[in-house]
Amino acid sequence: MLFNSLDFAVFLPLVFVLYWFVANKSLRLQNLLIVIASYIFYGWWDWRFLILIVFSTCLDFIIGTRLRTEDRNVVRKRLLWTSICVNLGLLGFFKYYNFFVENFVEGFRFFGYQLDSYSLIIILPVGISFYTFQTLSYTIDVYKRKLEPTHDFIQFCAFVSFFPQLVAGPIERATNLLPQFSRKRNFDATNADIGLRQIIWGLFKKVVIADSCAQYANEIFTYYDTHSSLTLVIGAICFAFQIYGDFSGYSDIAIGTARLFDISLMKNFKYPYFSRDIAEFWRRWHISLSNWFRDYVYFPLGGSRGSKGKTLCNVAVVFLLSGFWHGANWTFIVWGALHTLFFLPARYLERHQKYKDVVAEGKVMPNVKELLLIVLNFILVTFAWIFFRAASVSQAMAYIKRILAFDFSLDRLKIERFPFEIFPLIALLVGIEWIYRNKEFPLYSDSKYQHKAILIIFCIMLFGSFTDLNDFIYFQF
Amino acid sequence: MTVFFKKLVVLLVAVVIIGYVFEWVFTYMHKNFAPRNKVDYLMQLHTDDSLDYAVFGSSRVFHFVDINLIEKETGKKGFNFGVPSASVFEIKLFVENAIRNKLTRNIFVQIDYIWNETSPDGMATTNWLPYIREKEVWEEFEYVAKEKYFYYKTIPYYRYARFDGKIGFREMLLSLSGKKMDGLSRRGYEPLNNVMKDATLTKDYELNKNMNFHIRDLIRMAKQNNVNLIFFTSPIYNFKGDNSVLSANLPNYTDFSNAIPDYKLYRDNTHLNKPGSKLFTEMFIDTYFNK
Repeated sequence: MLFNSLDFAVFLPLVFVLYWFVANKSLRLQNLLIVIASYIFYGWWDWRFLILIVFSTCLDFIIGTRLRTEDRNVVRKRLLWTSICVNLGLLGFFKYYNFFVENFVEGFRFFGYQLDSYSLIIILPVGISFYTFQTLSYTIDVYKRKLEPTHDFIQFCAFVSFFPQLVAGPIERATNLLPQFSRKRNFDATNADIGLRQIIWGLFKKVVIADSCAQYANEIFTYYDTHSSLTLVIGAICFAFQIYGDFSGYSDIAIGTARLFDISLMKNFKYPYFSRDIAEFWRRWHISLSNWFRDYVYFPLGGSRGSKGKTLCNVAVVFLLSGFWHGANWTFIVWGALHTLFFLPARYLERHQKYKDVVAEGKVMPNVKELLLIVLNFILVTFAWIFFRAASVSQAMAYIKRILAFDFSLDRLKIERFPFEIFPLIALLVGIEWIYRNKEFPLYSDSKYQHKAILIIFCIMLFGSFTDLNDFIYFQF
Repeated sequence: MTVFFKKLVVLLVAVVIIGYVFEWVFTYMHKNFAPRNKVDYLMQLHTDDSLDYAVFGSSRVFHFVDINLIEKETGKKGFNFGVPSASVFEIKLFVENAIRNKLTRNIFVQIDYIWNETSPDGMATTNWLPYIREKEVWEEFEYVAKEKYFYYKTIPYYRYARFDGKIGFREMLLSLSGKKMDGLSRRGYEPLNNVMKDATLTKDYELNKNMNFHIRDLIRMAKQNNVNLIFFTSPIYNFKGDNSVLSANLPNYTDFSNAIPDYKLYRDNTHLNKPGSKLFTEMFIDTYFNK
């Protein structure tokens, strides 16, 4: 079920009413309703996907319960590795099987051996990477005794499948989300009101910004070999805003929806395109994933405790894994590698923690240096997005090669528009976000938020793209 | 809870009001401002704009009949109302409104494999949605696809939001600025470039034996209003089918399907390129205007 669909517009009010007017009598009922609603939400795509999520949930619940009573380290370790292997095994099979088979065959062909390819037609279950990481975090935290495992199966099901963040995050930690399912939730009008406005803001980013930019980006990336350098640059910028509007919009709708049920989810984006370097960008972009990799990959690898070379190596591993997490394609790995290249100099010079404050705080405009840093960082990030968006590395290279032809003629696109026509909408988003960059989200709270919400609704209805209900990009990951 | 619901109601009321306002504004602009497509153009034409003839059909009219060439050679004023991917349903809407507005006494309709179609096409239907609340237009939609189009008729602004790219905000902005649709100077005709690559291609289709009920309605309406309804089939490269169903059922029917055999005059096997359309237009003039 898509957040921007009529189905969800009926589903959400229905669950909301049942939750606060029927299930509010007990904690168990509230959790049960969350689980049923979440399974309906997820099964809306394909009910067969439910088998996987139920299996993962049962496995990690059983392992968590065993870890509670088990003191022998060898057995505990065995339990942990069972969870890791099974969860990552499922993820690996559904997401990466064909990639590995094809590359394996290709590798042998390079050395002159011909192997038969056994690629399978595998449907990637929506959001598998997200809930796999979430359940893994539970088992790892229980293993490390950072978290007391739950003995309530329904509670655990609610934690794994909580529908607002099930398919595209934020990737929640058991330490944050699970305890919230162990206390009875009470309606908080202020929180629900904020949630409602966050949903509106998320919808704005999705249907006005992301889906409009998508029309341009799709057109330009598909027919890149017929467009001028200028158009291709605009195509890359469009994709940068498409993916930002799409993913951060989803996160805002997810967090806002969770608020309606008195559940607090972690923040996933903090105005990343106002970052002054790559390190700051990664503190502001897909925060839940960055933190996951930091806590469950970077720190276990040794983090920054070893030599400088070891630290840089650990950073590179995290970025490459993060790229590969996004999809089974070399384009994502190159994307991760590029971010490694952008990040390592700052890490080497120990300047990666330089920008932690809000840029130009208290000022209307940034100074020249800040502006240049923001623009430079945006160029680097957008350059890397070309690989992320392209169908293959060779297509990305061809795209960049055409940009470097420096042909600044203006194309008319097949969608009967000129590429620059998208800029007023992008400027609208940048302007609003700049003004409210020190708030959690622009409609968060002030004396005129209700008027502003109506204004945003006006924009959604006027500028929104509802042509085809567009999937959220991150569903495929 | 009450406070929250009050705020929610305010937002919902805002959505409804904005929806109604946009509905009214967008529909008004489609009907009164610079036409951005052939449907708006047709609906804005009045009796005093009357034409000597009008040609209706799909892309096989849009890219085939050069109206300016006809005017140059015969002095007759016409318009090409061909719309890519239009099915018989959309052609019927066009022709009905042309007759109702007393636009012309001579109407040409291109029919080929679209003879088998009775449902709206979807893509070509979109431009009719601003007029879906008009009684005669809705009656046609209601007859063939009531469930599909009911919400577009009843929910204010829904159709403009859903088909934003074709009838939504940007088109309205261009309409407001006075920018009329492309190709108005060519009187609705749009030539195609390039030559088809594979000269071995053939085209075949099988036509239903039964009369298409949209066409039957059109013939009846034309007769009642004393309008000459002339049917024809445009050229097809290497056509191997049989159009005898059309010649048996359609009045004033001419079959041009095998009239142009040279592949160099085609863009693909169902579309002529620019030189091809020039040749076909000459044939069209000889057949209908130089008798």
